[in-house]
Amino acid sequence: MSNAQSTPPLDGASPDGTLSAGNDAERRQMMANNGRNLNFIGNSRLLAVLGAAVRHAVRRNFDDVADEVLSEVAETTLRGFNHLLKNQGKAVRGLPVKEFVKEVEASKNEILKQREQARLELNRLTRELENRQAEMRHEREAMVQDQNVDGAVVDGQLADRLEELFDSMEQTEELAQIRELVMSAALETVQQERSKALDEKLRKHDSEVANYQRRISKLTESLSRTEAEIIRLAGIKDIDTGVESIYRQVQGLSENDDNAESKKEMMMAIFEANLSLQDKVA
Amino acid sequence: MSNTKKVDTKKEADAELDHVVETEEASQSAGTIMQSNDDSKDHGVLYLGIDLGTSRTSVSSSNGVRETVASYVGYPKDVVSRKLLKKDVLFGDEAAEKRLSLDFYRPLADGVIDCNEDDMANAKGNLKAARDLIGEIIRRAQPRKDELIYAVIGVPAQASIHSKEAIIKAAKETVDSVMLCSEPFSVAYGLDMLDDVLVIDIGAGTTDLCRMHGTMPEDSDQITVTYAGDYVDNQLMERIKEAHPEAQFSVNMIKAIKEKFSNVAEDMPPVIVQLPVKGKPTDFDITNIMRDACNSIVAPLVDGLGELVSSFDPEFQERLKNRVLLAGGGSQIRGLDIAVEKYMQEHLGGGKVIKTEEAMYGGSNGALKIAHDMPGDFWEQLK
Ligand SMILES: Nc1ncnc2c1ncn2[C@@H]1O[C@H](COP(=O)(O)OP(=O)(O)OP(=O)(O)O)[C@@H](O)[C@H]1O
Ligand SMILES: [Mg+2]
Repeated sequence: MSNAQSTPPLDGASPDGTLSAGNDAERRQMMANNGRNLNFIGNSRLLAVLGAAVRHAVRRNFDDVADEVLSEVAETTLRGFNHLLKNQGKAVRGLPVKEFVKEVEASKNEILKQREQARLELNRLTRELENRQAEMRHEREAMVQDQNVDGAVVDGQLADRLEELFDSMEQTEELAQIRELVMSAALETVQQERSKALDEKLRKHDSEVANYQRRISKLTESLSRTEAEIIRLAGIKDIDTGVESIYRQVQGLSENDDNAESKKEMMMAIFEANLSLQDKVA
Repeated sequence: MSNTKKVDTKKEADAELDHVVETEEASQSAGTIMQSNDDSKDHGVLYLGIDLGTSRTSVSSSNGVRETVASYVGYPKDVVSRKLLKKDVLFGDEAAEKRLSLDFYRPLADGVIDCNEDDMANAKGNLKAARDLIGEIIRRAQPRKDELIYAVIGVPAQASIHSKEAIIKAAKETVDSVMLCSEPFSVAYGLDMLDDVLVIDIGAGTTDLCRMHGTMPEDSDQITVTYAGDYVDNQLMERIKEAHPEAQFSVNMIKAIKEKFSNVAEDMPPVIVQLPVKGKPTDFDITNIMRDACNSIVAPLVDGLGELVSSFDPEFQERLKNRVLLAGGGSQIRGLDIAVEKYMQEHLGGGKVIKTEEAMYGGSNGALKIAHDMPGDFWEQLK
């Protein structure tokens, strides 16, 4: 009698509407977190549908079932189901312990994560900058050296050309003087041009370095902001603490209590009254 | 007791069911609907005893914390007040102080959550206020988030089903399991006075009279009357108005004066208070007025006692009369025990009265004790 899927639609099985109390929403969340299929249906609704299913199945499979028997079967099933449903969570305030701890830690973790990220980013950038600066120092040296080496070659070639030119001319005293002047002027101009180009290159390097430095200070600032947030959070002491109970376990009446018997009866009476009251609430 | 048996069978059935599921789980291993995550072992159990009163709400907790707050809740009226107050909700005396800029609630007026169907807006407000108040008193007990919280809430003996349901719903948002019990009963239970005791719990709006005779009191064991703190306040006001029509005062001023000077003794010290006359502070001697106003509840309360005594088994009437327990904020009237005894002597032919030492926490302490004594599986079943 367990082939409920193949039976026609059940009485009262229309889609569920909204959920009433926050408690239900919490429980729903818990179910959702646990990855159950039950998460789109309210608790009371679930029980109603289940009750209908049980009655339906019994009626289909047995002739002439007395109403009392039917209710008894439905009630037993529902009670059992409800018991299991409640028992499976071992909930702390409507959430399984793990979920709850997760929730409490979440905000703290979020900030710690942010800080960690900022830290990593800062480290990465600092390292990058250091590398880049070292690289640049090398580049600079190389540039200067290249310039000197290249320059010397170029200078040499220019000088050779000019020498050739002057050699081809008729050698006079005058020409010798001109030759001297032209040679030094030409070399000077070339050298000036060359160092201008070098300066330009070096300036570019400098602005690159400045950019890195700006980014670093920005990161440092954001890091110190998360740091402050962490300190603030730590200041709110009871964010996840409280005062511990003196009891580690459920207590119950002490057997040595003078009035143990009558107290037991009273506890039972209070419990029964509350059981029927809460059945009404559910 | 047939009830015991029923519960046992139910428990057995549940255990059997658990077993079936466990076996199935073992054989199926995947895709089961149950999870056996029994992590209740490594955290503790916090018991709360809560006294939800008209004028005060108190909590006694098994972590040693005790707190009390006036049963007032207020919400800023508009954006401006919210900005000024920097809070979305205020409680207790703070709410009373700022009440002019608040939507102000006394959610347990007359000892029940006032949810009058005729005034839906106000009913809704009261329900929310009650919920917030319960949440607040639990917060003030400073529970650890990793502990199970089991709470017993003492509610006025005459609380309606409707308001009891509302209280349960509200509490379940914060605690793991909750039970209600009648307020005078928890007071007596807290003092281990279970047999042949008459409890007089004098609150603000009502006084609950309750007969205890070893078992849970039933409806016929309880009488609720309105001869309580507010009644004394009114008596004081009327009498002062009559004797000193020029004096200016408010209810709150009178209440504060009462709480400072309340006394019914013949030889009570003089009560001189300052009240404004045309804005100018003026001294008034209200000694006799104070005594008379406080005394005004004695006769009707003893009449109520008489009813509870006379409808009881004649064999035990004497015992009952000799164990009258005065509790609640109103029991702090000096000399009240002696005055009640004297009046009982005159009208019931004798009696003995005991005052609770802790008027403020009598109810919550008792509720805490009940929570402690309640068996674990009862708590489980109400989760
Ligand atoms: N020293 C005092 N003398 C006389 N009355 C007092 C004194 N202190 C408090 N009260 C009165 O006690 C009353 C409140 O008592 P209690 O806190 O027990 O009430 P409650 O439990 O909130 O109300 P209820 O039982 O009606 O729900 C108030 O009327 C208050 O004015
Ligand atoms: Mg009370």
